[in-house]
Amino acid sequence: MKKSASLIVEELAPKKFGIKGQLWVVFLCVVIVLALYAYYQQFTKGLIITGMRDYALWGVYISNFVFFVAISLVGSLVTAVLRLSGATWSTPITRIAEVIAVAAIMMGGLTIIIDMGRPDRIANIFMYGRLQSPIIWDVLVISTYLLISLLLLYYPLLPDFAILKKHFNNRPKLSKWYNKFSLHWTGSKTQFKIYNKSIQTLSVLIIPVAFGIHTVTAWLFSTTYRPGWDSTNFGPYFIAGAFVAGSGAVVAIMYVLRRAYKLEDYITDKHFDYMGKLLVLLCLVYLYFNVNEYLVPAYKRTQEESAHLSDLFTGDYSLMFWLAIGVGLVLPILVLIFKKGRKPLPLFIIGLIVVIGAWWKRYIIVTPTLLHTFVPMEGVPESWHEYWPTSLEWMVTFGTLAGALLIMTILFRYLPIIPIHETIEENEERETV
Amino acid sequence: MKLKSITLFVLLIFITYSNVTFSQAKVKPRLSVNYIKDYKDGPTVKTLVRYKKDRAYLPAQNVTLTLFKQINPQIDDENVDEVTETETYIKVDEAQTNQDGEAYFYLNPDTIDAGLQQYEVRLINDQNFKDKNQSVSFEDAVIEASIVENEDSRSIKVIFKDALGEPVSRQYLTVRLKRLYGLMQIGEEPYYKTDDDGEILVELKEELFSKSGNLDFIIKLDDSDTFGTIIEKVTGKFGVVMESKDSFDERTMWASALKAPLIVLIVPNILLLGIWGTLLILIFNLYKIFKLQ
Repeated sequence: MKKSASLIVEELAPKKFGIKGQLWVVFLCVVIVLALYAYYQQFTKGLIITGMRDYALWGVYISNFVFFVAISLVGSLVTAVLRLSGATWSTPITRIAEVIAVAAIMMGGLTIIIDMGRPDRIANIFMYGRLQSPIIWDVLVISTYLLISLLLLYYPLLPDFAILKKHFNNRPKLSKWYNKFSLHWTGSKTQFKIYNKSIQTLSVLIIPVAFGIHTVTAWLFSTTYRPGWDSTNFGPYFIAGAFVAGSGAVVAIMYVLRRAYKLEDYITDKHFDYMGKLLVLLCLVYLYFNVNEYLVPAYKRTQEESAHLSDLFTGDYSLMFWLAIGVGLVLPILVLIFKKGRKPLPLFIIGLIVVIGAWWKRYIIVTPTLLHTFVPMEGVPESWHEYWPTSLEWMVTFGTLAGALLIMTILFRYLPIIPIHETIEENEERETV
Repeated sequence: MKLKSITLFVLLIFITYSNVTFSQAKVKPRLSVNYIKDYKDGPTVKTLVRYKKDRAYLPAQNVTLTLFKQINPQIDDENVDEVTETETYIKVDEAQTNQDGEAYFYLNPDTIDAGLQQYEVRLINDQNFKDKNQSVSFEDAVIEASIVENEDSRSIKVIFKDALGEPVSRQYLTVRLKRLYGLMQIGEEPYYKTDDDGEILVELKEELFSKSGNLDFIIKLDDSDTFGTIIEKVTGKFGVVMESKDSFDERTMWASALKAPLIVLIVPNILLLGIWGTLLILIFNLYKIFKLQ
């Protein structure tokens, strides 16, 4: 692919929504408005409108939160790990990964507030929070990761904003905004020196923080003695699962964006092939952790673990569990080991399956454990023995998912999906070679 | 004529109905009266007033009760308030029931003689409750308790005597050790029967722990038909002093935020300072880029 710089700018500059794009935004807004209505009900009446009670006190909100945190990890994987390892093929998908990371972590933080019975007391977390509590570690690491993700999204955009400022000369208002956001980028040597050094620092910094964010999220569960959570394996198990979920999301979204914005020259079959290979590797690692996570307790079969595992393997949650493992994890491996499975469309379908499977997996991690208490559930209504989200809970949950998608949609509307400056540079390098 | 009769009939029904409906019927109370003599309050007449409502007994609160002492009618006394054919009553005291429906009459020990003592608690002229009397009778008695130290053991010796100082046999006493949230049984038997000398001897076999080293043993005669309830205390100073395991002032994982273990304060704060410090530098770098235009 040899293209002139002006053509690349022309093709990669943000474009207005078509009719499908507009309908998509309207659809997301409708879901969000419904979610706001449901949340208003929750805010005024309290968490009683949810299915959560004394036993299942973490429900779909917390599984949704864990899912968002997991998805957000992909920013560190694609942007930092691949960048630092010299995998230049990932350049066209770095921005997609960064945008997914920012949207997911924003909605993850919001989901925690949604799960609070008294969100008006949120300041108390910062005023009276105890550093001994993993919940405080999570709050600290999420806010840190959000800032790093924003910086990692913003820094590489500086030259692109300067390019877009020129490109949209005929639209002064837009050009003015791009100019402001470019921080008057001129591309001087000194600016580039600071720019490269900062991105390099961020790429290094985001990896431990990303590992930290999901390890701490895992510790929220594993620092308890509950069956299903009481595991020393939980940190790496969560991180492996997060990379799978995030990669699935990147694959699915890059397929949609490629089709919607006709980016076939930039996001090629080669990118899908590489992402497919990466995804199958991550799925294998995650499968390995799953075997560890379930096989060892199943072998030991303590009284508490036994009841929990029976519920997962053959009980009420067995269908959900085997679908998440079989379809959400094993099937992608079987499909993606073949080259044909790594073609854009099959990979897109697999990506979606992986993401949905990852969401259900979090639900399975959170809920069944809470319903296996150490003391018998006595003297409470029969309905408290089970948990299933109410329609209002589902509305709020879908609202957060729609919120994340809306953030991505808006960012993809005004930011170049593929880094323009880096693409031009790489193109010029290829021409020189 | 017919209309007049109907009007009178309706009026009659209305008046009858009004009397039934608007005049509040007084409730029948239940009085439960007990005599208790304990080491803290001395001789006391405890009264519990309850009433039945919706198949449940509720405490009657703020009800004024009067305690009368029954004396021999031959005694000529200025304070005699009421004389019946066979009994004479002296008003002793008044008391009001508390939130639990309980009223306590604290008796002057000097007024309690040897022989049968008879008191009557009366609920009279209350606007909500019907009049009710309940009497209680008892004979005065004393529990004398002491710690007996032998060479290799300790015992609690209790002598139960009547008001004349004569030992009383065949009385069932409990011996308990006072603990923070209740009384702990001492010895193997729940009850000890006084012998012909009115005595019981309870051997203390185990080491008993205490915060200060003092051990308060509570000896009780519970709800005797003759003597009522008598409670006595004897303190032994041979408790094994417990070392406090209170970690309130220590830095622990379960303490308040300010008392977090130092490692938990230092490590996360160093990490936070390192990361946020770097992030601030990176944000400052944006400013530097802006200034380099």
